[in-house]
Amino acid sequence: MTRRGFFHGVAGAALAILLGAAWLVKKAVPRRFTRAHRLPAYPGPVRPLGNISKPAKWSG
Amino acid sequence: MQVQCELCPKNCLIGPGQSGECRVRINIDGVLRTVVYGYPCSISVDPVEKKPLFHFLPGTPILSIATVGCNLHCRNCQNWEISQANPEDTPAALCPPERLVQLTREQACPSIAYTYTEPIIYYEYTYDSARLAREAGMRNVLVTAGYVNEQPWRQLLEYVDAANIDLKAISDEFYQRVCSATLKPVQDALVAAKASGALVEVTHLIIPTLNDQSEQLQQLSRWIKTNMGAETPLHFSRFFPKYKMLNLPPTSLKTLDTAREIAMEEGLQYVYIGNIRSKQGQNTYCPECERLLIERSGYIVLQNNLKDGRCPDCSKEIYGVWK
Repeated sequence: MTRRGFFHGVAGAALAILLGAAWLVKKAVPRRFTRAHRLPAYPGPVRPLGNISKPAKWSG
Repeated sequence: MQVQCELCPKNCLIGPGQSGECRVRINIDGVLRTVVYGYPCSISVDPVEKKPLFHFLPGTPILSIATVGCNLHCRNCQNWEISQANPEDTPAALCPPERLVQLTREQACPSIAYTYTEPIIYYEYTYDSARLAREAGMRNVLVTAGYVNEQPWRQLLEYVDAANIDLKAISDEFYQRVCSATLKPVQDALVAAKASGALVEVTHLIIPTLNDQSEQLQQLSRWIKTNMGAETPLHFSRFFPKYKMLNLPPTSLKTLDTAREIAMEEGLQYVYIGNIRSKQGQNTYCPECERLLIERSGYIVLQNNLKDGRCPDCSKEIYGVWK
């Protein structure tokens, strides 16, 4: 093996170790949830509230 | 520029002007926005038993809301007209969190239910409303499929007093094929909800030929008992042909009765049958002495014999939030 080949091997191994460590850290630390921002206007038709005192037709 | 939503396990990577799979979280100029905050498409006063919740403030009314959208796409969805709709096509009323709390007070409801579609996808609206409701002395109820990432779920659970969570099947294959989701995150959400101290009841919709086999029902019941506790109420719900599942018949009463027997043989203490009239399947009995504790007819409580949350005969403490 030449000196260049040796250093390439070491660099490759170091990169693999770093990538592996980064993967482990990513697995260990939960994904960080960020709230969505509000859209000021509803994109569909807006209607009055109406009579809310009756049960809904929906399940649940 | 794309944005990644990290609310549910789909972790949608959303392109400019596009929405996530739930249809209500969109990317505008590289910022993730919720388009349904404060705009419920349904708001009604229901009996709490309709959620279904049988061990939470029985006989009380609950103000129930939903926005359009859902992160699942269940082929048998009973509420598909709003869960699988686009906000652009679905009328909604303006009702910010403060107004929601005011309405709950006006309607003399002790609690608010975030329900019908999927409260996870209108997360910010659910969270802010729940926090205000808690400050006003009201309770919060989630009716959810539980397909949510851990961090937002734990944050939301701080304000949740009770939850009805679907466990649609005990197989990942069912979740993928029928619901476009996976099983493990739902199981994690169930366990986390129970551990948070919220009152948790589980619903399992029995669909003929898909998830009605005895072995599956045994496995499901066993999982609930082992991971959530034998005191966890389980509701077996009757399937009706709907949406993209019109080719199957409704679930028979015999199947539902058998499911209830299987679950009780596995050691679950409170097992109910829903979407169908069933004398035994709608009542609450003491798991110790079998005394009738709460008698129901549909969503109506006919008699409630509990004494300070205990059986009046043997004094066994009955799982639930009774006042």
